[in-house]
Amino acid sequence: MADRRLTGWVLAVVCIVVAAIAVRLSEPGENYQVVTAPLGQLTAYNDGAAGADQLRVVTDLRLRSEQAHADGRFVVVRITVEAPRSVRVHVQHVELHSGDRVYQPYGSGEQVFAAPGFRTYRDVAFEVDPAGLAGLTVQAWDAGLVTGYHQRLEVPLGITAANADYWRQSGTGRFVDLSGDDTTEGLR
Amino acid sequence: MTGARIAPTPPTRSPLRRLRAWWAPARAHRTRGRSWLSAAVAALLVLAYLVWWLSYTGAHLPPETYDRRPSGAVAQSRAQDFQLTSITLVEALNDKYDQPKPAPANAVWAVVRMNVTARAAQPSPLCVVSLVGDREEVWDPEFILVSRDAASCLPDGFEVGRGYPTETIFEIPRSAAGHLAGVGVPQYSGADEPLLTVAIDPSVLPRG
Repeated sequence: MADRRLTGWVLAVVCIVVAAIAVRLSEPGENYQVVTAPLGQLTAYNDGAAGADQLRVVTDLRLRSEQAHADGRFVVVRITVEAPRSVRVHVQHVELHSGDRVYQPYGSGEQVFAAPGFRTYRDVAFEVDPAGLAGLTVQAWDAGLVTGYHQRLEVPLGITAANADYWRQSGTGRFVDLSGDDTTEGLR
Repeated sequence: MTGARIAPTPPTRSPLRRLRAWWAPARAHRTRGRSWLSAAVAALLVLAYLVWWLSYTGAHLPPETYDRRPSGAVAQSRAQDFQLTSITLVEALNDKYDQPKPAPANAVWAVVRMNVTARAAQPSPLCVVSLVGDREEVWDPEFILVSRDAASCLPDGFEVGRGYPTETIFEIPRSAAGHLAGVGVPQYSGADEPLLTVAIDPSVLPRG
């Protein structure tokens, strides 16, 4: 009797391990469509438009009245979404990519939401390795608990191997004050 | 004749028996452990179902459809009756500290006043409505940017059957000022949403 139970448990563990390996092996590739926008320009995104601008590289910032010093550098961009039609437009998640590295936003509050007829923007900061500034790209998308095929905004920040040292040096000792709130204005 | 004595070989135990021996002391706790495991599995199944249900309905619900009501009509939602009194557009609102709160750039405040009547006693009445544009744009109430003294729902200790004035603030783009359809009263049932209408003056007042 006890043997049978034990065998049951062992089988259960084996099934879980096999299922985990199967899920891992069968992970689908990218399930999103990339929409690329140059820094400073909006591009069509979902039912509206989105983009990033106002790139800043600094070593110190104040976010919601809390001061912070970066061991590396803070990269700050402004994310903008527009909802010119009758539906809302969301960005729920923002990441900064540099090769294989993925940086998450520093602090909370990366969501940007525009109601119909509005434009909303918000500064989002990332703390990054100063040696990896070249090739930084912002990715932003509307992520739910379960996300299907979706559009993902990509904005290359324009930092290259040739000018990375300029950004690194010019950011040293620079400070930026971020409210942490989003700003909304009506579309004309 | 005396021969060399061979020491008896200790009996070998299979790995399964050794695992069973290790498992045996836990037998006393097994029943309780199984109960916790069953409860955890049930909770996870419920959670998985809720996540799937929320995602599926969120992705597949058709857009809201509206049942337009004439000016002065009453709409029911849960245990309340809603009657739209007025929609006023203003550049700036005085908050409860009497400080002017201007609307954001290229936007105006829409002040929706209603008469709300409870049809039954209820612990926490809900008076959430939406403002609907003539292209079926939907704007949600603004509770954060401006805080006013006027009640947004039934007061504490409300009487069933008595009407109470309420006020709900919306932020809308200035371009929508002349294109409002009315106030949507949610049904929480999938039924068409009653759209309460009233004559709206599209001009924007400086202060409200």
